[in-house]
Amino acid sequence: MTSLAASWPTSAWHRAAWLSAGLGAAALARSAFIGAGTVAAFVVGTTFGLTLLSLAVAAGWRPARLRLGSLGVGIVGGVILIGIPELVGPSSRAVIGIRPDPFLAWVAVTALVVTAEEALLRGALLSALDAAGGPAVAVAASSVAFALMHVPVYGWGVVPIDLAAGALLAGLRYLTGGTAAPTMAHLLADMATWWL
Amino acid sequence: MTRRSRAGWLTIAAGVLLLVAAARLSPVWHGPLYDGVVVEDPYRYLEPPPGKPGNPTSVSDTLTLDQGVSPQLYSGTLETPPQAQMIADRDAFQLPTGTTSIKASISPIKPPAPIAEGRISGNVYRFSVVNQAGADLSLLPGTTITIVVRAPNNVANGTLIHFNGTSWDRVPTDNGGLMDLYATNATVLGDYAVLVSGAQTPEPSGQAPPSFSIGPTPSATPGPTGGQTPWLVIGLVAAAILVAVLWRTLGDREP
Repeated sequence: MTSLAASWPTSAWHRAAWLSAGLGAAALARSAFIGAGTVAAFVVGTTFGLTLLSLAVAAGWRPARLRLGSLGVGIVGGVILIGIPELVGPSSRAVIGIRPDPFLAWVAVTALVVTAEEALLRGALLSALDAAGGPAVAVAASSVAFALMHVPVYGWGVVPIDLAAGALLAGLRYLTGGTAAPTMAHLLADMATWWL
Repeated sequence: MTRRSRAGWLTIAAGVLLLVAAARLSPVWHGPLYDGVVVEDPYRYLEPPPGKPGNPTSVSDTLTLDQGVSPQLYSGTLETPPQAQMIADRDAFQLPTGTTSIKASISPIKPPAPIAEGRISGNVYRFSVVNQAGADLSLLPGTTITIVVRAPNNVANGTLIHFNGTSWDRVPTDNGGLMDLYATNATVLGDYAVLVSGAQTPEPSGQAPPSFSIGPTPSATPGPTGGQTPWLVIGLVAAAILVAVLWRTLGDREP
């Protein structure tokens, strides 16, 4: 029996294209369920996270051994992601309603989604793009993918800030060599939305 | 310094600069939109179409002054996300002599007047800020208040409109954080709603528009609209990539 990983395209460009297509399809599918309430949001979030994680694993991504230094770098990155919009953004604040109860379930599903997004985007996709076109292509394309995947839910207004966040998270990946740092930064930024 | 760490530092620096630029240019602050679980409850109508939820909430917040000036204000209805919000900085309002507190209220109302073109999507909301004596407060010159109105789920091509006392005016509209949230930095309070222009967009519930709409009857055939176009573009690009890769991959396996 041929395993999924064994049948995965070996060319870096092919791998990147497959991952992008899978990410796009998953993001579109998820957006179709927006507006269905809290329970649906948890179910869809879990399914979305597991789908992305499966794609990343199928493409060859494996979690590396966790290093405390990477987590520290990730915490700094998270502070930057939260702090800059707080410090230099407008004071007018809109609430987009991401405080679903119960809190622990929200934390768990958010952590799954974040880990999966980072495994796919800054893990599998960035590695494939780096192998195919070098770091500049990898950073640019993975950041664009990160921004576009949010458009179906948040609208085009999200593109500038998510492009920026995508670049920052890609930088953390290059700096530390793994996905732990961008995952930690991303998780902190998402957790902060409960309070901000 | 290795190639990898150099790329890391350069990318982080670029990311920080982009983040500053994006935050500065954003007309309305909202929580970092890097993802997570996105919850949006079904829209609540003041006059619900058959099978759709009714009983939209109202809100009224009383706030004491902050060292003699109006306090920072956030007020939002109780749906998830709120169907109407208003946000004002500290010292945004002109206060009549003797003012000790202010009351900010948001409530859904029946449309005060029909619209000439298009249709109202969802409820009309009345935004007001008064002092303890009930006197309407107006904004100080040069200040604005952010008004955010949510349209029914997935209505993505709306524009905010404001009732000027006799007719509706379109106001500059920004994205409020989700596809169907609309925001504007307004200089006056009053009645606001989301206008959907043209006849091409059906109510996402699939129902006829609420009875107060006087615009053209929406087409029964969903077609590409301004708001849906990005979805279609992304979907088509993803599908094209998928087909191309499938074709190439399967082709590679030919003997």
